Formats: sequence, C-alpha cells, structure tokens
Amino acid sequence: MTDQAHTGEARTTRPQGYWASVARDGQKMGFWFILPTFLLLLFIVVFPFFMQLYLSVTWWTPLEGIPWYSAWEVFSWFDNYLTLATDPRLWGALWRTALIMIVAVPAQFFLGMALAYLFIDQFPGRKLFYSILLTPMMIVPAVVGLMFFLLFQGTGPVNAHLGLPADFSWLTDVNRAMISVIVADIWQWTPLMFLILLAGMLGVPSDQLLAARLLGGSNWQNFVKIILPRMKTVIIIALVLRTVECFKIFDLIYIMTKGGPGVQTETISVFLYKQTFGDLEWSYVAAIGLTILIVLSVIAAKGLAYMARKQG
Amino acid sequence: MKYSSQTITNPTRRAFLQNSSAAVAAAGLGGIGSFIATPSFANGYAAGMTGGPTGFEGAERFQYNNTMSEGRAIEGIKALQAAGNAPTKISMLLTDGAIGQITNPFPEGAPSAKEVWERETGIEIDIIGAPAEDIFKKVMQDVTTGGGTFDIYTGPWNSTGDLVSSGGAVNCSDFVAKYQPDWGDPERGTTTPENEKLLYTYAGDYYSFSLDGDYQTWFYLKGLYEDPRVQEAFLTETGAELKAPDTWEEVDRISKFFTGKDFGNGPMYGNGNLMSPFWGLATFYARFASMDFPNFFFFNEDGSPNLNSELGLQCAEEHVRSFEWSPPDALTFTWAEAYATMWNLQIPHTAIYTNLVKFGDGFNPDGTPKSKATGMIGSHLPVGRRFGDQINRRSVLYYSITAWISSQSKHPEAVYLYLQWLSSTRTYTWMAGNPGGYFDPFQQANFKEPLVAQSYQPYSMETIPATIARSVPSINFAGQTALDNALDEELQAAITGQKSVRDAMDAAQGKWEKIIKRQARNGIVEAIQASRATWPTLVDPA
Amino acid sequence: MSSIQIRNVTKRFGEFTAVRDFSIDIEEGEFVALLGPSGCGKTTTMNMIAGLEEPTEGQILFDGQDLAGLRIQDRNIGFVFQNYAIFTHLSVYRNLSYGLEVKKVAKPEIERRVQAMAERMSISHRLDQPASSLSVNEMQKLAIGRSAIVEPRIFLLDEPLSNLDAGFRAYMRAELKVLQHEFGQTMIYVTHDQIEAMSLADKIAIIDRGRLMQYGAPLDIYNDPQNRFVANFVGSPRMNLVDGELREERGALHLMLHGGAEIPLSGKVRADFTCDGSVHGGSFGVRPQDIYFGEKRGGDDITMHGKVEVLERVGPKRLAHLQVQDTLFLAFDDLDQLRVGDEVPFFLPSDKSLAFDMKTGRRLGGV
Repeated sequence: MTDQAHTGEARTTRPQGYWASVARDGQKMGFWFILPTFLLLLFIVVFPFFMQLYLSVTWWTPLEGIPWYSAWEVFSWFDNYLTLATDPRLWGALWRTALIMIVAVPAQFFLGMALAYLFIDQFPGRKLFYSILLTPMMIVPAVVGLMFFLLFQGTGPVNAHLGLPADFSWLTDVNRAMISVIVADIWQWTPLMFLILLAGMLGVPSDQLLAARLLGGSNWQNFVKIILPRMKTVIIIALVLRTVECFKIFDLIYIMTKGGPGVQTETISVFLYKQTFGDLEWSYVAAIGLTILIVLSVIAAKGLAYMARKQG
Repeated sequence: MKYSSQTITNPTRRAFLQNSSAAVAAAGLGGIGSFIATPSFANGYAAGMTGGPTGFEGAERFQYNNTMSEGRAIEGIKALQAAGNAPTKISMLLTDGAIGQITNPFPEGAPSAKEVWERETGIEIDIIGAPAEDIFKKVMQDVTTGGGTFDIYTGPWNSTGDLVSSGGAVNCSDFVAKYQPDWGDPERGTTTPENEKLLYTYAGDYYSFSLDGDYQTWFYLKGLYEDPRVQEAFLTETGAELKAPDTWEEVDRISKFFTGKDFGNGPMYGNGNLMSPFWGLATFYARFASMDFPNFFFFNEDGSPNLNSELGLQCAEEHVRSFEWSPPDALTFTWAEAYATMWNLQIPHTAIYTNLVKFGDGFNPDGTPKSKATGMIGSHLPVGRRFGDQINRRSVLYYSITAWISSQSKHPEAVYLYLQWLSSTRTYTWMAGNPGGYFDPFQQANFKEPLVAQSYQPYSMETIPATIARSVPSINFAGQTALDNALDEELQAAITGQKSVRDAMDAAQGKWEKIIKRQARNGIVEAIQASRATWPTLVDPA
Repeated sequence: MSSIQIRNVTKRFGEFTAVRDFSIDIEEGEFVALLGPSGCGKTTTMNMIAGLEEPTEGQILFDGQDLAGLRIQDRNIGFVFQNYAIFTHLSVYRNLSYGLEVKKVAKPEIERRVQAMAERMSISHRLDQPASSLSVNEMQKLAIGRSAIVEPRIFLLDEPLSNLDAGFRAYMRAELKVLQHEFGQTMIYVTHDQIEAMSLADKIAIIDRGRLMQYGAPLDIYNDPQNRFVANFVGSPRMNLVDGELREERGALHLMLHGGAEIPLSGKVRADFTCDGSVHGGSFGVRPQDIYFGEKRGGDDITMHGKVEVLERVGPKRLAHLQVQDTLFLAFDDLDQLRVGDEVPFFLPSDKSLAFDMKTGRRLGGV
C-alpha cells in the first residue's frame, strides 16, 4: 500500500540550470569565487606586459604628444632592441652592476660568516653586540647613502682618518667612486648575511660538533667538514637573496654619486631611472625591461631544472 | 674645509644638502634689501595709479593703472571673477631658490609680490618648490600621470619644446592678443623684438613666460687682476698683459696661469666655468658658438649637427683641456658651488648666472660684506674669436626660469593673467631687485632701475644687456632633452678620460643624427631653422 | 691505551655539588662501569675524564700524566654518545674516516682501516650510504667504529645501549666485550642498568649523589656490598633490607623491626651487629635467593614465620611475598611447594645475611 502511494506521486523538482549546478558543486563555486581576483591579477600583470611589448617596438615617448595607444604611429620595428644590443651605456651599466655583485656579495658573505662564527658560543655582552651588529641593516638605504656621502667627502672623516688631503676625492674620482659605493653596500648588508648564516650555524647539532672535536678535528676542520656542509641550504638562500638585491641597488648610488662621476657608478637601476624619468625614453626602457625579464626568466628556468635534476 | 667660515652667505650643496640655496634665500639674504628706510615713504598710490606695491620709497616706479600691462591683468581677473570664472587658488611649481623672489618682502617696509597680488585679487598663490635640476622631471611626471597638481609649471626655458610637444602647456596666443602684455615694449621690454619671440614663443605661438635672464655673463676678480704682484707675475710668465680677455684663447691662458698659484687666499684654480653634467653644457655651447664667423651653429640649415666637424672637434678639445684647470670636485658642482669658489677667491673668472653678484658682492644689511670677494668683482663682455680685425663675442642663454600654464589647469585664463601680471615690466623689475631669489634682470626697464643696480652692482648693468645682445639660444625645441643628454654624456666621458675627444664627438654626432631622424616628423628641422634665425649677428671690433 | 687515576675529584656547579671527593684507579685495558641512579654524577664524572668539564678540585691522570690544559682535540679520547651523534650529512664511510682524515692519514691507509673496521662492525655493506639511513642498531655500531678507528687511549661510552631493542642489547653487550678484549682498550661505561654493568664490567664503581659507594669486581660487589646503598642497588630481585633497633634480652639479640616483627640474631650476622658497640640500630639484608624453606639447615640460621601473600612468577621460578607483621620478605620458592595463604616458616642463613649500620649505612662486620 505504501509502495503504491509513493509511485503515484510526481518527483520533487530540483532547481535546474547552470547556476543551480554551481550551487551544488564545490569546485565550480570555487572557480567563480576566484574569478574576480584572478581577473584583477591578470590585469595587473598581463596587461602591462603587453603594453610594454607594444611600446618596445615603437619610438614613442610622452614627449611625442600622442597618447600611448597611438604609439603605432611611430612604429620602429626592432630598432630599440638593436640599439640596446649595442648601447655602450647600457652594457656599461650591466657590467658595473655585475662588478658590484661580484665584489660586494662575497665580501659580505665572508665577513658575515666570520662574524657568525664568533657568535656561536656565549660570551659576556653577546646580546648587546648582536643588537649593535644588526643596526646597519635597519637603517633606510637612502639614509645610509647620505651617511656615506658625508663620510666620503674630500673634506670628510674618511680622508681625515687616513691622513689624506682634502682634494683626494672619493665620490668624484672615476675609480674610487665605485669603491665608496661598494663599501657602503658591504657595511649595510653584512649584518643580514651575519643573521642568516648564524641561524644556519646554530642549527648544526652541537653534539655532532662535539663528537668531531673528540675525534681530533681542529676548529677549522670541523668548520669545513661539519658546519659548512650542513649550512648548504642557508648559504644558498643568503647568497641568492643578496645577489638579487644587489642587482637592484639604487638608493645608495643615487644619493652618493647619482651614478657619477660621468657614468662611473651607474648601475642598471640608475641607468633605467635616468632613462625613464630624465630622458623620458619610455619605449627604449620598455625594450630593455622586456629583454632583461626574458633573459632572467631563462636563467631562472634553467637553474630550477638543474636543481630538480639534482634532487631526483 | 673648502668653503669659507662664513656660513649663510656661502651656500654649498653639501652644507645644506639640497639642490638649491633656498636656505640662503630665505635665511640670510632674503627679506631685507640694502635699502635703508627713510621717513618719507610713499604710502598709498601715486597719482593716477590703481595698483602695485606701496610703503617704500620709489614704490611708484612699480605701480600701475589699467592702461598698463599689470593693470590690464588685474582688470581681466576682476572680470573673470564677476563672471564666476576665477579660481580661489593658483598652484605654482617653482624652483626652490626662486620662491623668495615672490614671497619675500622687498625692500624694507614693502609687501611681497605675493601679498600685492593677493590683496588686489583675493586669489591665493600656492607655491610648491623643487630643486632646479630636477624640476622638469617633476613637470613631466605631472603631465604623464595626468596628476593635474599644478596650474603653473616652471622650469628651464630649454624644456619649452619638449613640454609643448607633449601637450602639457597651454597655447596663450589668444590671451596675449586680448590682454596685450608689455614684454616686447620698445623701451621697457626685451632688448630686441627677436628676444621677445625667443623667450615667449615657440613655433609661432605664445606658451612661455620668462621669469629669468640666464645669459651667461663673465665675472672676474678685477681686484686681483689689478694687483701689481699678479700683473707682474702674469707678464713674466706669459709675456702678455693681464687684462679682461677678449678671446677664448686669452681666457684659457688666464685659466692656465692662475692654476696652482696662491696669492694669499689659498691655491687657485684657473677655470671657474661650470664643467659638470647638465650645468657644464652652457660652457660648451658658449665656446662652440664663436668657433666660426660670425657664428658656428650647432646644426646646419638642413638639420645636420656640427659636432664632429673640424671646428666642433677643436672646440671639444679646448673644452676638455680646460678641465685641467678646474677645481677638484668640479664635476659635482652646481652653480652654487661655482659661486662659492669665486666668493672664496679660488677662481679668477667665470661665465655664469648673474646672481653670482647679487648674492656675493656688496654688503649685508648689518654692514658685513656678503663674501670675501666683495668689492673685488668686475664684469666684462663675452669673449669670442678674432677673425681679422673683428671679434665675434658670443655667450649663451641656458636654463632661465620659464613658466608655462599647465594644460590640466582648470582656469587657464585666470592663471594667464597672474603670469602676465608677474612677468610684466613693472612687477618683474621690482622683483629683480629682490635678493630673495634667482629672477635675474633681462628687460630694459630692469637695467634702468636703481634697486636692481644696487643688487647686481653698476658694472653688471652695462655688461648684462651687452651680453644679452650677443647671446645665442641653446636648444629649446622638441627633442632638447634627448639632444642635451646625449651631448652631455659624451662630453662627460671625454672629460673624465674614458673616451678620446674624437670618439666622444663622433658618438654624440651619431646620437644627434638619430634623434633628428626620429623627430623629423615633429618638425625638428623647421625648429632648427627657426632657432638659427634668432642668433645674433652682432660683431665687435678687435 | 692507558690507565687512569682519578684522585679526589670534586665538581661543583655553583651551589650544587655533582661529584664529591671521587677516587678510583682504572687499570690499563680494564672495562669499568660507572653505575648509579639518574643524576648521581656518573655522566659528570665521565665528562671530566673526557675533558669536557674541568674538576673543581682533584686530578685525573692518564698513565700518571695530567691532561688538564690539553685541548679536547688533542686528548685522543674515544667517546660514544648516548644518541650516537653520527655525522648525518656524511656517508658511513666518511663517518668512519673522519678521525683519520683530520689527522691527515694517507688515503690508501684510510681506505684500508675503514674497510677493516666496517668489516669488524659488520656494516661493510652500508659503507657508501648516507649515515642517516642506517637502522638504530647499525648506527650504534658505526658510532663505536668511528671512535675505535683512531685507536684512542681510552674509550668512554655514555649509556650506549639504552636506545636499542632488548634482543639487540644482549647481542651488543657480547659484542662490546669481545671488542674490548680485541682492542685491549680501557673502557669506561656509564649506565644505570646494573645487569649490564654486572655482565660487562671488570670493575664497577657505584655512585650515589656524587659519592663513590663502592668500587670493585662485580662479584665482590654482589657478595660483599660495603654499604646499604650498594646492597640495595645491586641484585635482581632486590635484596631484602629491613631496618630496626637492636635489643638485648636475656643474652639474646633481637632486631626489632619497624614493621613490628623481630628477627632473632645469631651466628655470624649477630657477631656483625655487635662488633661495633656504638651501633644501636641497623639494617638486616638477605637476598631472596638465600632464604629457604622446609627444614632448618644451619644451626645459626634464623627462623621466621610469615604468610604467603603473593606468589610471583619470575622466569622458571616463583617468588614468594612473605608478610611478617608489617614487613615484607621476598624469597624464591626453592622447593616449589608454597601456596598463597600458607603460613610457613622460612629461614635466613646467618652466614649469608648482612648487617648494616642504620645511621651511616655502612656494612658491619667483615666478609
């Protein structure tokens, strides 16, 4: 009897249609919720990329008097790319950036490593010295730039202490300007290396170190064979971090020398800044930016592939 | 210490860590002129006058009524206000060190220019400062971002072309026709009609308001030249008499002589001209212009540059060689540091902006000399080259604060009227005397004004107009930013020894050719031709 | 390989005294266990021998030579940590070779010795693998091998077997003994496990709260404990130790136990209690193995009566818990006849019973 009553009734209708199915399906719903943010990100990242690509094949600058989307009027094929391939100023800037990276980063690294080693064990005043050591990196880079600008004046404290005459100039000398900038960078960022490397060192199990000592390993041998190998990841992190940041170095240089004398301390960031805001060569800068992006992406991809191979 | 113990009156970029001497203008010098007040003031307007400053002797010289340029501007504002078409505030972007010109009262007992305007129109003037070198960057930022922060842009006269071609400036030709400013007045205005065109127009239309007269003028330590010791030493060493030079060759000889010598004021460096990036271009252009008779143009009639021509190379060689005689750190100098070297008697001569004198020669209100060089400075005519029995003395117009109306301004006509009022010959003459800033004299009325003569010293009143008449325009047409930067870079490379002069000039030539090619569609060749036509042809007997 | 003389060593950490006036002599090639409960100072003593701590007072001599002032690296002391401290980032081979590498031994020599050691420790098949991939047991062997390969003058082991599973522990005990004989090493072994100490050591130093309680061969310690602590600590199951007051009554000496019962003293143990006239109270000790049931065997043996409360299985035997008033005696049911609830007599052999002074814990009487 009950069976019959059931078969006689019409089936209750489920809401039909796409949105109804969305309401039921968690995955579909997720997609729609994410969509607005995703579109926003797309807009922020992808749109400027295409804009840059577009501009890089023209000669457009804001001084042309036409809006940017009309840049096709000054279409220039690959002229910008050809120019950047042979622009001595650009390559000089890249070379100088590399120079700073090659000198400053290892210097900071070794200094930081040495300092970290000193801080492994407790000693009276350790906390105080630790805080003092960290201060340089907490100062705004622009202020650091200002500090060293003052220090390296011909009439400033550096020359006074080294007993050099007031016309022995640092910031305006073609060779020494770079030295002063590198010194400033090392001063500011060694503490970061110190911090990271110390953390790495403290992560080495102390009983293994003790075992090594008992086996007759000298402090140096233990450092090289036990501590360093265990710090590999931390070391890589520290080096990569600082190298990437060094590539972007700007504030220090702009304040200390504005890239001068001439272009002697002009790194890629300073060069691009001057080209963009001083010369207003926006299409040229677009081409440069795009090229750097592609080159770095290729390098990064290769690096990741290499690391993946080593893992597996 | 390189700079003297006198503090406020000798600004250097390092002492104040800013790219201008705003502190100078505001603190020590601004506010009070050397004019000592006497009881018989002119309170209230002179007969027939309806506007202008009051409250000091001689004020009537700067007052006006509605038959005069400033008066017409005021009338115009009132009409706009009646029609409800006027702003309550006008914002103006201005070089830091020039702000005092408008906001500091001068002379004692007088109101400031800003006060006078605000009293007569009720429109507030809001001035925002920026360093002299970077101000055009700020202007372009406002243009490209569409920020619309300023009603008035100011910057170097050289940037006019670039600003106009980017669409950032308002074409004022209609306003000029309507309100008839007295910029070109035959007795009071610019020294020649060509000059009026040069300073106020671009490609045939009115865009610019000249608020400065940066014709590089020669100043030298006359007191030192006339010292018998120095004369004798010069005669012994060079076989010639030490006097104000007429040619670049003589200039270089003097520079070489003084370098390393100490006449009781410390070691000297002979070349006082600016050689640094941006500022040093003026020196190069000035030397370049006289390489040929009567003129050696930067560009030929067809637009091709002359940089690596034989004469161009020679000019570059001389320019680079003169760096040997420059003070150390010269490559970081702005005009402020160059002034300081002259005021400290470290350089014998320089061709530079005329407010060197305003800030460094003469006496402070408290009777102290403005600098060590007080009383020792003199001025001579521009130098050139001897061709037969004639000399083509040439100088250059470079920088020169110029105002433009932002195309994003909501009240261009009212802003125009303010600028007309500010730049007309009475208001401007009154401001030119004010030691509070950089507005240098260039109008005929300025040179006849005692207050100006007081600030700039009588000797300048002769040489400046003469220099103006012999000055060539540096580049001010669209493409200027690129052109000047390209040349500047190469010159710096040559000066610092990274490139040979030949290579630098070749490179600069190449860059200029490329820029011309790019800008051809924007009419750069026509602009070049128009600019060439404004060069003076005046020559002097040898 | 060296002998060690520890002379009156005291170690204080601030207010706390960890080791008090400790003196023992260890012969060359001896296997000595430092045995005691947790916190007794045995690890501290070991650390002092290793040179990781400096004695506050006293000296530690190696073959008569004081090594104080020598850096840890130069002491040439083998040390096996409780948690092995294997170099987890290195291979097994590199772990073994480390001690030789830092001494700049020639490569072929290193190769030879590492292979030999790996062979001996039966981990040759693991040589090229990362040390972290070894099982706990293999790690133990590696830890020992790593220290042994440099032929240290002495070997210190800090509770090395406590992490191992029971079966392997027994195996390793045997292995260690073999190794020790083979190397002829002087070994000092810290443990809290008396069975381990008893089975491995040539001599045992029993330590309680920083003080040396007794130092001697295992059997001596077992049979002839010098104080109550040692008697209590050594022996499994524990020795029965009951405390009471001595009372003389009409020529008979009884030990009045705190639990209410009394033990009539006779024979040797009575003599022990009376040998020192100042002693009024004492502890009576008798091992469960020595208590017997059934008939009294010796004339001086002491007869007690108690009720069987619990019968506990210990291996093949049964351990009876005998309640005498409020005192509990444990005894092995040697006749295997008891039942729970039985009220039975049991006998304490007087020549195997021990007397201790209540106040000082000192053993009374002689062997």
